[in-house]
Amino acid sequence: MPNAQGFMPSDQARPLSIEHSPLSVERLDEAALLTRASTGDEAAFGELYVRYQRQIYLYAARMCGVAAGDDVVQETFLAVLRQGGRFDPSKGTVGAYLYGIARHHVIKRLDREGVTLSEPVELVASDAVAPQEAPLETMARERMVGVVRQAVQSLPPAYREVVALCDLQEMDYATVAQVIQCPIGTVRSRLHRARGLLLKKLSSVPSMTAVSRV
Amino acid sequence: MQDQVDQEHALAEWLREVADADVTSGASPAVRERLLEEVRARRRSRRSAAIKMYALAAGLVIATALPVWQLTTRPSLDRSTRVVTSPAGDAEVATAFYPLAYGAVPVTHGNIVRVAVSPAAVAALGVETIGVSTSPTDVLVADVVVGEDGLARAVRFVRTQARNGLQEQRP
Repeated sequence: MPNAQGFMPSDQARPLSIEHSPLSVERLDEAALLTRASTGDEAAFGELYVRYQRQIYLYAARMCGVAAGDDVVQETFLAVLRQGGRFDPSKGTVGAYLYGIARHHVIKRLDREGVTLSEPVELVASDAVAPQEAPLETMARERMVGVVRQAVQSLPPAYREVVALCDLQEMDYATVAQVIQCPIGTVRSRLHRARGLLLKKLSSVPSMTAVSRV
Repeated sequence: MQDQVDQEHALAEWLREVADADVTSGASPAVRERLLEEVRARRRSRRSAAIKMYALAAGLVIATALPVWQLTTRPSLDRSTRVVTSPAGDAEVATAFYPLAYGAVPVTHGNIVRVAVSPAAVAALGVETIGVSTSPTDVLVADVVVGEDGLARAVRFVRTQARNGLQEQRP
């Protein structure tokens, strides 16, 4: 479940090489953690990295492809070092701040590819995702996951973004609104349209409901 | 209608599957190492900058405080004594130079000669000692300015830190 700030707690193992200062950084609130990280506190930086690198990596990978994941994570945390002092708690959470930086780099990458994050005027659902050769009943779970992932990847970026943040990263609407800097209503409507598009894209997968989760 | 709801539920389930499948994904360890190296480099840089700043601040404090200290302490020294350093490097308290009988005779190459004199000899030079024991066995240390013509122009009295005899002497 998302925590109070709308993010899933990191379940990654803590890196052993990261030093911890006498004042345990795990107990610091995230704003203090960010401040200390931006001043070169290695333990604080490590803790912040552990908490957010995976989420930012996944966001970047889902938006720009896996190859972009490492670069966006690196650029995001370098920005923490360069401009961590710019964080304003009144404008949102540390998570939203970090996602905002990551999003900036994602947009730059998409721009280079000639893609914009603006909401599409018309819904594009014609390019339905075709199922693999095997019938759905016998399709391996991994293959179905691949089909759904492919369908998400084929969404227009503005819709892909809300699916990635709300559905795949289980972020609450308010935080997503902070990240993408638009009203919560816009988040809801984009998500609704995105899910509709996904259903259309996956409609060619026979009886999608027939595959149950373990 | 029910189909639509079922499909939406199924979609939500499958999106959760996708999220679960990605749970082990993350940035490569090399990214973390590069970032931590950057943190260390910045910390070193900040430390170096801090040391330079403290050194500059200390220099400013000294540069500001020294003239003030000199201004506040000079009058008391000028009154009668000043701290000097002996040729051996010991700290000494010395009076100002007091002109002697030939003090008005111009001198171009003078020498300072340190002498040990009795209070009586000092009195004979016309210098009045104040607060100094006048026991005949006492010895006063004095620096005498002697011109190239051999005439004494001025005298000052010196007390090393170990000695207590000379408190103040006035002509």
